[in-house]
Amino acid sequence: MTKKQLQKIVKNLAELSFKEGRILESQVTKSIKILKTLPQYEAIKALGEYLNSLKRMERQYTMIIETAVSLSPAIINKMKKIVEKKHEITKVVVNINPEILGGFKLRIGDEIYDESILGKITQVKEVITNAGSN
Amino acid sequence: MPDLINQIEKEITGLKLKATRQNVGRVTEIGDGVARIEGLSDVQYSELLDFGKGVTGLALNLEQYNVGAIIFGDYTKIKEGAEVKTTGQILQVPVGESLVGRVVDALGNPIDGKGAIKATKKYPVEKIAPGVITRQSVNTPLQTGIKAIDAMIPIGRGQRQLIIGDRNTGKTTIAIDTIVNQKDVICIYVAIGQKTSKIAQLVAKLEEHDAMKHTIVVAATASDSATMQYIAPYAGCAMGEYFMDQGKDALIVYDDLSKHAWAYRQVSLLLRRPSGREAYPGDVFYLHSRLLERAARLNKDYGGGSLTALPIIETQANDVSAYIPTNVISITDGQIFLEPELFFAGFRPALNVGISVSRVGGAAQTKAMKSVAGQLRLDLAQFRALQAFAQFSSDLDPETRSRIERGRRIQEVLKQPPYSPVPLSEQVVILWAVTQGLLDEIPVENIHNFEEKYIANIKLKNKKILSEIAETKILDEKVVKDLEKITKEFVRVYGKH
Repeated sequence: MTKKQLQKIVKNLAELSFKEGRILESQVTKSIKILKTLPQYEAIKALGEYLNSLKRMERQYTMIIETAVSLSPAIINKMKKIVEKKHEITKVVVNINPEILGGFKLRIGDEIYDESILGKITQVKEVITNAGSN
Repeated sequence: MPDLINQIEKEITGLKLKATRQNVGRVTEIGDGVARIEGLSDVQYSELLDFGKGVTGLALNLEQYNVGAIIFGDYTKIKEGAEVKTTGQILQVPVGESLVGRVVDALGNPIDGKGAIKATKKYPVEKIAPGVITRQSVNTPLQTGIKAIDAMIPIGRGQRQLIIGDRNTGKTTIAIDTIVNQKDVICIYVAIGQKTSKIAQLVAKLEEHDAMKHTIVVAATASDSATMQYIAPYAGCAMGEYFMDQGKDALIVYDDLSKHAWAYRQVSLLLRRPSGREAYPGDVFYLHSRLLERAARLNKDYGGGSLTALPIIETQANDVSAYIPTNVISITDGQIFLEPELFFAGFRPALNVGISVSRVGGAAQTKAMKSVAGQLRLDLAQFRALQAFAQFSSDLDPETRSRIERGRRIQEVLKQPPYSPVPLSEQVVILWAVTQGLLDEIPVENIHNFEEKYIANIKLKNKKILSEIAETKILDEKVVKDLEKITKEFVRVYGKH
């Protein structure tokens, strides 16, 4: 089987295993069974690519909130509702990171919205650095 | 200091802090100055990437889920899984007068220990070359100070003249001589993949001849990553373009483009681009053509500035038909071909005038030089044709013998030690004298000594002739008559000693 053919199969299986922003467990089991029938070296490669594709798809529907302190479920829900006006969200992950000092960072797919104190300090730092160099 | 604090205060007072939106990715693979990044769905081709910790990169390969990027700076600081951000900017380097006299790296950062560079402007490293409407033909000479080049392979401002030859044939020396000879031209010397010690020697040489005051050295040494070596000529070109846009004349030396092609080949292979002939990627021609097309002479409506390019190519075993040499030969407006045989036979600069050519420089040559160069070319061509018979000198007819003897004297006159450029007027005078046969009585081994004394004598007693040629750039009848009289008299006196 050529590399392109293998990639096409993996892509199709990954799309079948993902519906409306959620991973379908039964479909994943079926897909893995199909991929296991391939010769061993192709199966290892295909499984790796299949899992990566699933992670990539899941990331598009996952909202990661990074805060300095823990948030109440009400605030998290409110945030989710605001974000859902633009993006479909099926999973919410909250990470506590005291290094951002305050505020929050929001990540959906490849996008990061930075409303943290650290981000604002960085903005001030950039302005000072530019003023100093001119 | 209080000014700086006031400025910072002013900037901060007006600052409105907003939530920022950034497109990010994650490093999946890193090595040899090249990274593969997952994510960065909004990234644009050639966009500057922020790897954090002061390390930046350039997105060069955009694939469905991955981005291939080259990294500037210390890539060992970046780890797998590190976050990468898009910046919405393209790669820029500082440009301007403050760079003159400095040695900088491929990103325009100073590496000469003389402190920070206060550049107020930045130019993009990659830029589309000036269009047809903005250009004019080459019409002003760029004097190299090397007799053989100025007479037979003249270079005009805005021209792209290739210097090609094997290693150790004097390619860099020609470029440095040309830089040393400039007075009103800003020079940029781009060192690609060279030894740091060689660059240090070169800078010392330029300082010794007071040439650093009009020169910028852009250095991407052999110890720098291939990515820095790849970007260095474009950065140097951007610095030169600034002066061209200001209506000034600039000269850029790329030393050398063979190593530049190697660096690009390395980057391309690491980026997993398909390889072609000699493992170079398919766009290796475009790599050099887009760089050399940026050399131009702008017309008066666009400031009238110029950027002359002297790319250097190192050949292997004199093979000019190799892939990269043929590419660059076809892009440039002529080539100066240097031969190791001539170099080791003591003919320096070791240029082969038979196959060296300047396609557009003739239009820029001064009338004075043109009037002597025609005869010079003819005499040399005849000499080359008859040279094979030189060993049978006793059996030759007087006409053939005299042509061979004339050729030998011309060859001697064209020999020139390094870092000693000759002004145009002096070049015209000595070349006129030798082509008129006035030096036929001087033994070949004494020609160099004669030349020195002859020029010194004219400078001392008839300086007016030199200044007239320098000003009018014409060798008129009156000057010729005066020169004939002076030369004949000096040859007579010289013969007595």
